[in-house]
Amino acid sequence: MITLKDLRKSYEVGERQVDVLNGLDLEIKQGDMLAIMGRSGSGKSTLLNILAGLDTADSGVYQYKQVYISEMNGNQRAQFRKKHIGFIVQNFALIDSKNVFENIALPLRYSKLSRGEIRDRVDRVLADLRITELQSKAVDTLSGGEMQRVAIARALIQNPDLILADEPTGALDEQTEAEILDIFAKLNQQGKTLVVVTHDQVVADYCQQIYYMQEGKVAPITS
Amino acid sequence: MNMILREVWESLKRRKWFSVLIAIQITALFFIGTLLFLTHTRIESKSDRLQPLDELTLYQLSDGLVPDSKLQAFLEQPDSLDQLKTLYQNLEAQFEERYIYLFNQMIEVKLGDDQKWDPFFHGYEQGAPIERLKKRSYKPMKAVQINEHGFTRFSIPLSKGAGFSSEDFHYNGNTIPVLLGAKYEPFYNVGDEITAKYIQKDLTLIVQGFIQPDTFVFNYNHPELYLDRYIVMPALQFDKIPQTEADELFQKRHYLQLINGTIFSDEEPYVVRRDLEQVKKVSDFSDMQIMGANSDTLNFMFSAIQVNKNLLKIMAGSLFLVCILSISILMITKFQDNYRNMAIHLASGATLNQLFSYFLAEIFFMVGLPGLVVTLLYRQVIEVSFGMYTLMNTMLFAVIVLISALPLYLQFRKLEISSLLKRSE
Ligand SMILES: Nc1ncnc2c1ncn2[C@@H]1O[C@H](COP(=O)(O)OP(=O)(O)OP(=O)(O)O)[C@@H](O)[C@H]1O
Ligand SMILES: [Mg+2]
Repeated sequence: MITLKDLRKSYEVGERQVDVLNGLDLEIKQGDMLAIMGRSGSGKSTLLNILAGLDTADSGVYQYKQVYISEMNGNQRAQFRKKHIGFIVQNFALIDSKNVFENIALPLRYSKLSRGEIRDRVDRVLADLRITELQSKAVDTLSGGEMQRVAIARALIQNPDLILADEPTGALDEQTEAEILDIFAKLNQQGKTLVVVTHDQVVADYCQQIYYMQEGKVAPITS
Repeated sequence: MNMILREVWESLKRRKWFSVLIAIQITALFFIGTLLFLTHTRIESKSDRLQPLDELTLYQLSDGLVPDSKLQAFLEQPDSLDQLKTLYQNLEAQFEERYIYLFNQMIEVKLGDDQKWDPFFHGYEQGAPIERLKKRSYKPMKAVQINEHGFTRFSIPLSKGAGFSSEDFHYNGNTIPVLLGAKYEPFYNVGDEITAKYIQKDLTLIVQGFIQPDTFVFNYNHPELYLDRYIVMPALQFDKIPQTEADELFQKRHYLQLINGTIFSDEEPYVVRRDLEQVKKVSDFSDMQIMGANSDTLNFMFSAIQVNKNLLKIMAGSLFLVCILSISILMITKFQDNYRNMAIHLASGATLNQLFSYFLAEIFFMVGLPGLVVTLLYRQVIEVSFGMYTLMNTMLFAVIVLISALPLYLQFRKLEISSLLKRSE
């Protein structure tokens, strides 16, 4: 489903050039559930952002099914994100000024859907994640686990093929972490492709493949 | 669009008081802009046209034919009309272009019962009983009569038609040419005839032209008389001897008014008084004096507005800067506050352009709403040169929005999505 070839990205930090991605190759198949581990600063978020079409590499090829994301401009990538990507940003990113319902509905606001359709879709996702009773709450009254469910609900609302999660359980207790991982496993069983960035071996063990990121490349870990 | 409104609304709520403060500043700025606009448009028309009259002292003449019994006795004298005519001619001969007759005397016009005429009624602003006056077939309309010297010296600007020629100031036996104020333009054309009564005499008025909007004249009693709703008539000379008694009475009353003119002079007061005594003597008319002198009707207004104008300019200038600064600061602050939220929007399928449009829409709203309110208020209350005024406000609006959005635009230009996501962590 996804082919990354020779991706390179570097940042100028003062005089120095930091190579974050350094000829990275990666192949992801439909239905994979993938963990990416690595030291802090190794470039995991950078990779995930590129996969999401939020960021771009300096060079290299990013092919998603038949299309070359690496050839797209900003607006085309926005379309791509909207259609195919469910992104769970690090630290349960929710918008404080919107309630749970509006947070989940946000991606739909960028598509031309009627009120009724939005309502239906959000209701369905709320039910799937068993958080229907939270829908009109303000987000700052939620617990960590609830917030992460809402963030997952937002990532799922467009029914994307590819779900990207950056440290989805980093700040959760074990019990809640297990619940979230269950949700991921279910999504994977439904046929979704998941890429999860994590520091946590428990999370990684839930995935079929574990990749380790180092020196701007990823390599599979075989245990 | 819906999305933009939603985001603007949420954003406004986020720094409510700062936004309200800015809205107040902007309102004040538009308000001062309005004052400047008003003084500017008025000063312009004054300085060009009336500056020459500005330095002069106004001596108001007044006949001493009071009380009524004295007036009655005078009118019954067989030669009173001759006396009045001679006096008037001598006043004009002695003072020439300094003798200006500008009198505000209504004229009765035969009109249908249409409320569009209401504002043209004599005394409309003073609360005349409009409903009662409307029932008459001849309606009392605002009018001024002006002599030839007055007409040339005020150089009343026309938008259409032709001004008065010398012959127009002499009654030709059937019609009187008139100029109509700008507000009459939709209702009449040049060449139209109007049936009217002036001092109870039936007359036909011929529309000869239209006066430019916001034109004003002044005399001793009226520091500013805007002509927009007035009928301007020549102060007529009657060369023929009246045929009927009614005609004679009409002419007498008419000339009685003509002699109560104003001398616009830059000479020493004693010279003016001496010259007037001379006129009284050769005209054999003693009941006439200078009622008062006024040297700063216009002068005073000019300087007062001038001072205010400079003050206003300084205020407008500094307020302009303060507004732009505070909007820029607010927007940059919000931009930084919103890193995390912006990342979420982007991940949800937004483009950077869309995010920028939210900020821009917020600036539009913060500047546009006060601007719109002030403009609508202006239309309700003042209305003078509304087109120009709207243009000025639109430009002011555009300039504020452009300048205050600029720092934000630059921030967006150099924004890297990765740093946005970085900071959101
Ligand atoms: N906008 C930027 N400008 C300069 N350097 C950047 C920028 N974004 C990322 N970097 C650098 O790139 C490297 C990789 O960052 P990245 O966020 O991908 O790491 P990470 O593996 O996700 O780390 P963590 O586990 O702490 O989240 C880091 O050294 C970081 O400092
Ligand atoms: Mg990271």
